[in-house]
Amino acid sequence: MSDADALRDFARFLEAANTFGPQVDPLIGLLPQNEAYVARVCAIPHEFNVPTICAAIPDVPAPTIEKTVEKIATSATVTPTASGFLMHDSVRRRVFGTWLDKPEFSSISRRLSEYYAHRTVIETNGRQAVLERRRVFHLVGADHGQGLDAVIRLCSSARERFEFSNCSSMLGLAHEYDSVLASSEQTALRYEEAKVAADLANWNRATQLLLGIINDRGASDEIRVRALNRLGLVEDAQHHREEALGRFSSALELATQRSIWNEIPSVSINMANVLRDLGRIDDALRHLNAAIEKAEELQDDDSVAAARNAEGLIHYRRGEYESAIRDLGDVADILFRRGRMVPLAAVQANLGLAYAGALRWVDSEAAFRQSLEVYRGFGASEPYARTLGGLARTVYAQQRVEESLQIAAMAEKVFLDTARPLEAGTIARDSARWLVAAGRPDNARQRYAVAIEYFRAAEASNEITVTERELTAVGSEKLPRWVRICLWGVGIVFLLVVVLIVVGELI
Amino acid sequence: MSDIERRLKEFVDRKNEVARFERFFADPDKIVLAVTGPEGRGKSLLRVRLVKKCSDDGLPHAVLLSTNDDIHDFLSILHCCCENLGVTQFPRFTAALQPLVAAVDVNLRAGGNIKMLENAQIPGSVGAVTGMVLNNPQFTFAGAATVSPMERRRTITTEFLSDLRKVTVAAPLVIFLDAAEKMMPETLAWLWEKFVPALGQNEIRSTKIVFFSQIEPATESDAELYVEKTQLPPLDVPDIAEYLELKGLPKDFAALMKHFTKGEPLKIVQETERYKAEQAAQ
Repeated sequence: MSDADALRDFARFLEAANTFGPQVDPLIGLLPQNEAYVARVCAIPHEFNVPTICAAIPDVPAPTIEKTVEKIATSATVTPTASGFLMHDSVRRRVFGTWLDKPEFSSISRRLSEYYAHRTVIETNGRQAVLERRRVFHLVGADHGQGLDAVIRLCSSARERFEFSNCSSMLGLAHEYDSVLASSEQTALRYEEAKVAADLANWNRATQLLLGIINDRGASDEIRVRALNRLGLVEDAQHHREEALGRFSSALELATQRSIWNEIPSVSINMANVLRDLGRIDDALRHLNAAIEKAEELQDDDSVAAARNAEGLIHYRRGEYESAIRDLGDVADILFRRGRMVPLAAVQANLGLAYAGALRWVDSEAAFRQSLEVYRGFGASEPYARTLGGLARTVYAQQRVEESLQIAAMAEKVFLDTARPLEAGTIARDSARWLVAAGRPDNARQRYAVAIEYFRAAEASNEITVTERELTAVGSEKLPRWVRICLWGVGIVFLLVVVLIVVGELI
Repeated sequence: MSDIERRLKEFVDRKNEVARFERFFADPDKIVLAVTGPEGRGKSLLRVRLVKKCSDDGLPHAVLLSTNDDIHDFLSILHCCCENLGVTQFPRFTAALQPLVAAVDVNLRAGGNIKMLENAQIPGSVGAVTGMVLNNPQFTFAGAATVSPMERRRTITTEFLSDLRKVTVAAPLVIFLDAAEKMMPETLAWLWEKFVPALGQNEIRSTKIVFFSQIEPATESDAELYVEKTQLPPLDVPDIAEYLELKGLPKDFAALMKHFTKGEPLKIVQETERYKAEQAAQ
């Protein structure tokens, strides 16, 4: 063939490719039928190698699989990895898409899911999370309902452990089945995505996703109630109290209309918290009582505990300390019974405050110390610092000034470590006040100066004014050394004169 | 010849981009080189090329490739720096990573009659009893953290940066973030709004990042100063001719190939492979 012929032939070849549009994968189309089948199976998992494909299609002889994998591995659209090969995204996406309506897809997916379940158990190379996601991904292919339940369970436990990329990867994988998922299944995935976005304070994305669910007439009432409730929390987190109240009211209305009782306690508690922050305490208590009643009826201990905790905090703010102690004590019992040690620590810190309000210092100290036992395990954290601050005040109230100063210094450090200069300033100023009361004005002045620095960092002008006023009231620095020596000298001379006069009188 | 070496032999030598990387590496004011381009533009192959260059030049480097089933987050990036610069140099970061499991002291007090091993039959002799399993559903210590995710991320980042400030290195660590468009929006926001500005403002020069993504980074923020952006262009006729020659095809096909594929590397590769396979079949 001449050069010109070759060029014409090549042009025809390219033109044909363009006319027929994007093909599944040009290379697969040129393989013999049995190898093409294997090559297409390679696009089902995200990473393929001989053992994975053998597990997926056990009926195909291993030599055929080996030969095919070897062939397609040479393609520039396939990248080798430490444990296999990755097909280029665009190629894999197209080939994977052709599988979704194939009758054998479910059984291949089931086998892959079982294969990864086995690998998750036997491998100890730190890739368990990836293998687990692969297991769940193929479980969705095997059985949508079962698989999506597993996706939601995995996301929920990943969120508890702050593994948001784990959660996000899993949701992204589940979306690969979008074209065959029912609308309710896609909504469930969007709801999970909204939760992750809200956890990460990505308010715009969370709001967008939740509004999508709320306005989706095809979505179930239950998920719309949950989306409204979650959107209320998103508004509240941005201090949009009235908007939050509106969302919670809508959630409550819809839940009541459609008898979705199990969501009512949680919505009522959230609503009560906003009402409390708006100063509408009686309305808040009314909602909390409704939440407790419904949660007890449903035997939902977690909701009973959350509602009683909120009620306890309201009593505390109103100065009704004994009622607060009763509520918070009941919550602590429930949480201990359920083994919820971390929330229990938060409630014990609240109990510490309530006991302090009731001037029951020994009980207050015990509650704060129990809380700290748990918080200490987290390292520097805001609840740990707050609890230390509470303990310092309680210890001071028991006249143990030195000990309270030491605890306050620890709290101050943790507040600084968690980037909370305002709180660090407040505890430094408390230390200064205790030092003034202990008759140590020099030390007090130093703490006041530090507190003012923290307040400056926090741009808290009111606190700066108050603290500067207190610092002025403590008085100025000591007199210079030479003035003090002179005064001492004058004093001694005066004393001598007096002694001489007295002695003179006696003689 | 390894698979990577074979692929690099077929690499159309993106000379401009490699030169840009060299300039970026030498520029003390830049922390990130952001390379963007649509799917199939050849970003990953360029990454492989630059990684090979780092290896050849003895530069410490690490690759974080996000795939659909494994997306990297802020912690992966921090871990990657820590592991490559030496874990012992990051005591505060390591401490901040302690798992959120609180130590719980359990004091058991029992009143009344306790029956143990009632009706149990143990053949042979029983040695010392070294443990006891308490089967009571009330003792399940499931912990849910009260520290917010944002707070935890802030604490971990602060501790990491405080360690990183003290790290001295002969040559900075180069981190390649490939397929970064797959990363979570929150991770990208953290990268551009917190991490990169913090590296810049604290004059930390022990880390450089090469960022490959289909989407151009939104860096209107404080990161802008420290980021050099470049768009990977499609291949031009001379590049395609070079590639075709490497694949054993006539260079004259290059103009046609450019016309039909718009110079998109993935399409060029696919069409070349298909043409060669068809030729072989004939």
